[in-house]
Amino acid sequence: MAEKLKKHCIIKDPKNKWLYWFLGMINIYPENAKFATQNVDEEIVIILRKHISKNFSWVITSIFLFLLPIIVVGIFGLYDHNVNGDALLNSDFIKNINPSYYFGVLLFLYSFIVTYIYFNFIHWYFDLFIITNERYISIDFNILKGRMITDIPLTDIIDISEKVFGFFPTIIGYGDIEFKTTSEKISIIEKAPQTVWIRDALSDLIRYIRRIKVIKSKGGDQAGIIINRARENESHINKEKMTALAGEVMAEQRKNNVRNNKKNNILEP
Amino acid sequence: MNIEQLDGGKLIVIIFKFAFAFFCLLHLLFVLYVVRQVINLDNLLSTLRRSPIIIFGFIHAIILIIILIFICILPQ
Repeated sequence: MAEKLKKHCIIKDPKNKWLYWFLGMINIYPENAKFATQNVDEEIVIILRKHISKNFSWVITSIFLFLLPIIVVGIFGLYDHNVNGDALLNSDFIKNINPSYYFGVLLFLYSFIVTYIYFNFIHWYFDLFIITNERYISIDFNILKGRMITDIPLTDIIDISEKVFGFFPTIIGYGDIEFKTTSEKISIIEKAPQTVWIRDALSDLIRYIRRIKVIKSKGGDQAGIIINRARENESHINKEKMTALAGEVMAEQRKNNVRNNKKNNILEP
Repeated sequence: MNIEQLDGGKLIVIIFKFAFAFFCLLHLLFVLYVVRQVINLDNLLSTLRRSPIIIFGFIHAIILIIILIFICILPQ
């Protein structure tokens, strides 16, 4: 299915595709990607992560924490030198503290910073949005709270909206994608990169999946087979051709039904 | 050792070391909990590279154990 989607250009490539792939934000048609609850004919179309700028806040905090000992010693040193006349640094209390204690405190602080970085990175890395040819899966991984996995069939999505509010989202280029389902449930992809592309890709994919579903349900398996054959022969999908083809299949089926009814002496309603 | 025989400085050192060791132990348990959570994400997505994250977590846990031992052997 993913191959067909790719072949028929149902989803266009995003801008700077390789950069976004390298930064781990957008992975379109990932090769050999599998997930735990994957169905037999299900294939991953897009893997999304929140925008990398979500990490800026903890990176800045980590840099500040890393420099904190230098800042604290600098400020206290200056204050003590200028105001106290080095009374604090030359005091017996400070001089009697074993230097290994300072070393221990520093080690503890830096191990805390490493854990903080580790924790935040994992939070970003495992927060995933997977779009397959059948459904949308949101994996909200929170180490402290646990994980919440939302699973919505693509055909249940009825309304997609894009929200880009504020200074930084406009400058950097991220926003929220919000969609409603038939069960009135609202799902949000927070801080998504390339919101316009995601909205477009999602709506195109949903429209395609819906059309296939409708055609299959009206024309039965025969229609599906004919359409699949037609799609294999075509290099680019044509909406009008598809609809015409489905119409032909349905008309053919109707003729067959009439023929069968005549054979069996059943009157048309 | 009777606590009444200790002077203020030594008492502060003991409380400091005890608190330090306690927080280090909590920290260690938290890191192991995070690593365990990552291990539990087996089959979440085949393209996720979990092993470097798990190895990093274990190395960090080992470093924390070394810090804990270091705190315990700090001079009084």
